[in-house]
Amino acid sequence: MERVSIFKQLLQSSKRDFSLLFSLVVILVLVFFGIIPQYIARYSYQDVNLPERLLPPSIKYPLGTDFLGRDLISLIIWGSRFALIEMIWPTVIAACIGVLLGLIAGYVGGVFDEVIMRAVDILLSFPDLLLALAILTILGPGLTNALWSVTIGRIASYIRVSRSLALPMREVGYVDYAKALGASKIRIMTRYILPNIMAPIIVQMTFSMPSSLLAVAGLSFLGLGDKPPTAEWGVLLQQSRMYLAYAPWAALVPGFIIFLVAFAFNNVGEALRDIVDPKRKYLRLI
Amino acid sequence: MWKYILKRLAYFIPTILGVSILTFTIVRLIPGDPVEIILGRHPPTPEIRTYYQHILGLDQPIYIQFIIWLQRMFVGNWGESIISGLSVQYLVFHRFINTLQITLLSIIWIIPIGIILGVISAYKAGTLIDKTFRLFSILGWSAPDFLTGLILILLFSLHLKIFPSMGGGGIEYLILPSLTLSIGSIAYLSRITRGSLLDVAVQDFIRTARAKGLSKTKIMINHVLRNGLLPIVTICGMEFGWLLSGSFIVETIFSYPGIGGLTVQSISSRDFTVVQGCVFLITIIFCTINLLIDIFYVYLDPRIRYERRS
Repeated sequence: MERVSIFKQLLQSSKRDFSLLFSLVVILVLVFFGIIPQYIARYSYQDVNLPERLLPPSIKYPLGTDFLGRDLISLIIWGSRFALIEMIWPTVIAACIGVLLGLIAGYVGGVFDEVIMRAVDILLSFPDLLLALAILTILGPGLTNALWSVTIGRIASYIRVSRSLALPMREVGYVDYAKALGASKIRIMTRYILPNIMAPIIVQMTFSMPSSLLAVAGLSFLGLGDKPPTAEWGVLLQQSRMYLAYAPWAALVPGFIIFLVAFAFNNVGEALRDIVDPKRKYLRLI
Repeated sequence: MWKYILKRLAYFIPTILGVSILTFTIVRLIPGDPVEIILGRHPPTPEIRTYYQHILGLDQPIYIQFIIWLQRMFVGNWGESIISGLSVQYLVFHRFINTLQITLLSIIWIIPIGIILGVISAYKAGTLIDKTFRLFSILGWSAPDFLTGLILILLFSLHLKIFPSMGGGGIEYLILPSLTLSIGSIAYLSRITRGSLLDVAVQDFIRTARAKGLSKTKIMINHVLRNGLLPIVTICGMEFGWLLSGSFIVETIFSYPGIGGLTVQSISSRDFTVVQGCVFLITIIFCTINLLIDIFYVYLDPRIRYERRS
């Protein structure tokens, strides 16, 4: 119920805010491309055509071609499927595990809480991509391994956030009433606490999606993710990097697309945060 | 205050221990025989194998192995690189000094620019200037390092030929990587600054100051900035910690000989002892900086001291 109203409010504020409307359109197009790239892209991402490599943008190839002579715009469209996976997989899996553990730690507390929070401290002691890199050292490179390594790195922050949201819920009136009525701990957590902490978690998930994209695409860029020939944007960028002087579009196009998608999600996340916490919007200095 | 610091220190030790256990397990979890992994591609003779098993303590129970390893790490005997045969601690510390240089230069851009932009944004909250700044900060925050880095190389190295695009050595090698690192951090710091100042602005003592008839500028400098800058100290410290741990992507783009680049290279070349050394040093530094920030914060903000006491 609450989620629907958040979404409605988002659409409403997009009428007044052009950058928000633009971001929503970008996300919509991305999802559309990601679901049915085979009907939209003119060429397959495996159509290697060496005589036409590194061509500048033209009518035949609106964004030019890459170093294998593949049509860049088709590559970008095929790559949106990878981008969707790279955003949704780490975010959703990490959120499910993290919220579950955080909820139990926050509401039940005790030894479980203590153990979980120490583990969170340890996981958060690895800066940036380091934990993902350490895990990839063990698992070896590859797209699936890169996705898992980023996922594991995300869990700790979800635990921390959902725990801190669930903690004050112990004292809330309706939770006490539910307890008095004999509701079990599981019922209290799923029916009374979870729905009330969902909104900030959705906001966090929205911010987490672009950062997952940047992380997995970054790992691919470092040569630890997907392997060529692929349409994965990070790999496209890495492969075209050497031709920067002769064919800058080949590297810049995938880079700008990643930037655009990340911006769209961060901008929507920002708008969602204003909706969830309306005080923020009307703050004035002095 | 001391009680709080002691408590924070007490949490620091299990964290360091946990991080060490994870770092230790990296080499142990890689499929295959640890001796063969550490000796690299050459298959060892039985005598060499036994010798290394003894040296590495592989004939001991796992917890003893861990203690031996930890002792070696703290004494400064980090083993040898599988690929180059160089001493790991020499390699890692040498690279770390390079990353430190980039960090110091980046901090010079980030802290003043980020805070000034944030203060302007908060001062003009709700106006067009604020909205524009906010949009730019989301843009800066979303820009992937690999894109900014490439654009800077294209502009300043390939077209204008002002700065070199790769390598390390003099100050000219530091400019482009540090600019790339700074863009996202400036955007982030300005957002935090804005939010933190606005949080202060709605508090009662600001209303009191206004009721006394103080001018807007005076309130801003004496009351809002003094209180609002406290959380920003934390963010600046964290930023320092992030930068010190070396950016894997930026150092790779600019082929900069820092610790982040070293980590990536040694993962690609399966040089596991070096990976272990890098992970160990980076996490220890990162944890220590976080500890120092927390202690410094208690020192700066008397409210925490009193809260803990009561």
